[in-house]
Amino acid sequence: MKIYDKFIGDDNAGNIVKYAGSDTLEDLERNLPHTPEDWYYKNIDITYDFNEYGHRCKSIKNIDLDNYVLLTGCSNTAGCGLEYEKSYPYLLGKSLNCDYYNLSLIGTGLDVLEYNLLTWLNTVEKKPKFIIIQWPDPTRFADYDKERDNLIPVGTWASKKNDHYKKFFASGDMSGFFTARRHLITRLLRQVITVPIYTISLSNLVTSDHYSIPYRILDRARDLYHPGIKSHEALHKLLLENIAINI
Amino acid sequence: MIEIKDGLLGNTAGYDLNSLGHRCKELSELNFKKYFLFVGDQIGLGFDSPIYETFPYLISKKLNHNYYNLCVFNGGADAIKYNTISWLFKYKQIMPKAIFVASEFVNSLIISDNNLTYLGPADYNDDVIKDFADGSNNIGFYRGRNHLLTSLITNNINVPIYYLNLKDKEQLFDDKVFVVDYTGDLRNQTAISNKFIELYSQNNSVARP
Repeated sequence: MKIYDKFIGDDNAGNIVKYAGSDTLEDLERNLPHTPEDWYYKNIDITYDFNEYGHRCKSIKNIDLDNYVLLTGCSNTAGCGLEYEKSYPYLLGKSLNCDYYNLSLIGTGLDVLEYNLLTWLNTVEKKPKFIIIQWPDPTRFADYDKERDNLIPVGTWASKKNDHYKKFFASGDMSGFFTARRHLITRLLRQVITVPIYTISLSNLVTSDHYSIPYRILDRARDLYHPGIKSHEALHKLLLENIAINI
Repeated sequence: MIEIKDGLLGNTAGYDLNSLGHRCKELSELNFKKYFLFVGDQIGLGFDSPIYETFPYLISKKLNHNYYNLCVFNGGADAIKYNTISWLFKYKQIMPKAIFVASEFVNSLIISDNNLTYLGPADYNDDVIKDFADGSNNIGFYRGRNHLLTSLITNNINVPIYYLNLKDKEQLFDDKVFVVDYTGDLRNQTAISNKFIELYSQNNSVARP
């Protein structure tokens, strides 16, 4: 990830790529022989079209800022392993007949989510109709490579590398650091956001938010890891129900 | 311990704290027309000295400004971020003339328990915290946290920032701010205030023909 002018975005800003995050060509080739004949992704091309800030959505200048929704989260909201038109942010925009901007980034944690959201709220004058926050794993963080001016997402997947990572994740949990960090970020965001917020949590993650909408994994995307088409459709419906109640 | 009051992190123990746990006048008494903001940790609290000998007081008096002191004991980078950003959103139209940042232990951690019954600074004598600090140092957690904090502040706050860079301490900001290098005694609040005043005065002096 990189900080582009204002926002943190994917390395591939301004580019269209065929694979991203855990959705890799190597894994696809390895998995293909073990998938059913009618597997949806067998003959489907997925493209990741990143705008100038490295976000998987339209450019800010093409968004109707008088009628838009803002979304943020990790790969589960960026639509990793999925055609973008099948992802819940796209479906939601279509159902609500409004534009949307998706700040989500693959591999991201609370720190980058907070950075982008605060920067949006401070620098984009027109406020969204509401904000959807999908909470990522609270143990994730971004390391910084000064030489390459790059941010490197770190999560529990890094535990395989060496014991320092294992030590970090275990002691961060035991000491109550992750709990406090999650609480402070949630609290600060709730304090500064002045439009309605809908929060989403994957059912296996602990959040500081008691009102989160559950994100149930009903099927898998092409990478056989992230939520698939049915999961995104179900979440989209659930969100619409919640939004309708409040309206 | 640390508490959130009126959207700001404050201290629960210390001398001369106002009702929000900050070592300065009450927020309601602050004259927002001409003021400085101080953020950081114990070095800016100066609990070893009477309030009128702390550098926030001395700088503000010398430069004829009011001030508010958001410093939190052992709050580290997270308290600096929380308070600075919270202030930005609360008082966007009446931001300070300058922000002064001084932190002795920027890698300090705020911890809690699972039920969030308290927030407080981590105890570095605790073995679990030692493990965490050791792990964090080796995998770039502090490096990433500090980079995001400084970028967030400098990219979003359009006010001059003066940063006290302490010898043998973790450096937080390295660009887009006015860096005041300080190698003296950390308890010498007068010397610290003089260093800040010197650079501030240089930057704000009117060139005479």
